[in-house]
Amino acid sequence: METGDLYSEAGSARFAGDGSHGGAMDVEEPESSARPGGREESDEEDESAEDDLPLLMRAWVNERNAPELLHYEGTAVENLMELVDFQTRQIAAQPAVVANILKMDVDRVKYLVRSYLRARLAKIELHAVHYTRDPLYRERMSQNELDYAKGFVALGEKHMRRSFLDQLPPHLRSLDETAGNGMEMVTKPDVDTAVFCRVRSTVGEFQFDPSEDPIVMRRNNIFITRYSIIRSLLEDGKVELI
Amino acid sequence: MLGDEAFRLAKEAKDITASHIPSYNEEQVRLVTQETRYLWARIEEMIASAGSRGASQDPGAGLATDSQAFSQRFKAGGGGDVAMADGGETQAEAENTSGQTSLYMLTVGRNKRCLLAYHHRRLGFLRTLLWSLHLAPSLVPAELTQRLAPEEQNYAREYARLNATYRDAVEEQLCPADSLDWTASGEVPPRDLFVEVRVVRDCGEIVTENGVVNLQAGTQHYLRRPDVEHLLAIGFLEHVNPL
Repeated sequence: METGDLYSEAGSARFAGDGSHGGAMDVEEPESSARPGGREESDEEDESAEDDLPLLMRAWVNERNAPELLHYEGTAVENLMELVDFQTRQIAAQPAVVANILKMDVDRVKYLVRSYLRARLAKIELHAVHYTRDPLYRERMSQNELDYAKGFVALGEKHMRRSFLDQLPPHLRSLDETAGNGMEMVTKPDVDTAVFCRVRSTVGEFQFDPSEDPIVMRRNNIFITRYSIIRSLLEDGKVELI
Repeated sequence: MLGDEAFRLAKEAKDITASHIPSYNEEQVRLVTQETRYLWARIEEMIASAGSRGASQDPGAGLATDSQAFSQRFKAGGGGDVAMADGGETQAEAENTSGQTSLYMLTVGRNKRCLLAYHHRRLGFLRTLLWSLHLAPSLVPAELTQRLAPEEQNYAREYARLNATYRDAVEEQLCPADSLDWTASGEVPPRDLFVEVRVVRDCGEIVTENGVVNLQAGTQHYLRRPDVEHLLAIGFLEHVNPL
């Protein structure tokens, strides 16, 4: 009984966004109207952010497993943080027990957002020059990330220049040459690396290898394959990396 | 021997591990850049002499790494009419010189690569270190600071500043009233709101939501994780019974 109360209270605190609170409401609306029953199910706490939380969780796992930088889930991040902000303001009014659970919840969402953003920064650092040059990747970064990437590249170049490049003959000072053996100074992500993926919605027959028969991809099947092969499926959300 | 200095530098780059970094070897870097400058000067000389004999060559025409194409042009330009232009020199000697140019070109490229790799790896180490210290360059232990070049210490400060700029922009946008605990440990998601910590080194007083806590060495406290996360990370506090 005690637990039941507690959960529904925690749930409804979140769910207050459904009806009575302007700002946070917009975040929730599309998803709550799509689900039959809406408010009655509020005891399933995790459901309240059905759209953004699982979406960002998936984006986070994908991001950490994909060799290249993926699309930035800016909307999900912003919506979640708006919820966090809303939740944090609610906490003060709750009894200590409930408040602690809510705080825990908030901490975990913050962890997710933080980890997601940091995973992206780490990837950006890895191939910063390439990402800042290629329009495809420039689009995938948020403005803040793009600024960061540019700053990072400039910082690295400055360090190399001051440490030794300035001591070399002028013709040897560039940082984006291709060596005689085809090796480039500007590193790129290796899209042919192996990844594990799970099928989220049945794809049907899919050509993994042009020289072999297509393989049927059903929901929940798990494959290990080259990233480049399932890249488009990942973009369409048909598979997720694990 | 040709390229030995760069090899030594490459070996030092390899010695960098997750927990150890050798002192910045300024002398070695200087030797390698010196050798590279010398070789480059020789290359330019050879091209100039070949150019004066054959078609005019611009030593700097985008040749930095593409040594093969370069030496081919060298051959084409110089080799053809060597005998005519310079009575004493034979075809074989011309090929000899072009072989030498290629060798020098390759060495120059390799030297540069070793220099880049050396500095790149050191920066990588430095960044990892900084993240573990909550991006506070002032927390880098003195014995490590000694091993860093002044330029690297400068890099550390600017890297921290770059990160702070990003963090501030993100927090401004996402949660103006709150903090993301940006540098908190990213390894494990938080399981508990509170952690039991033992104080290893005196930290003085910290302000938490529930008031001021005096963290005296040897005492034990039960505190909100985000409040003490940074002290845990730098080892001033110790987590009692972590999961």
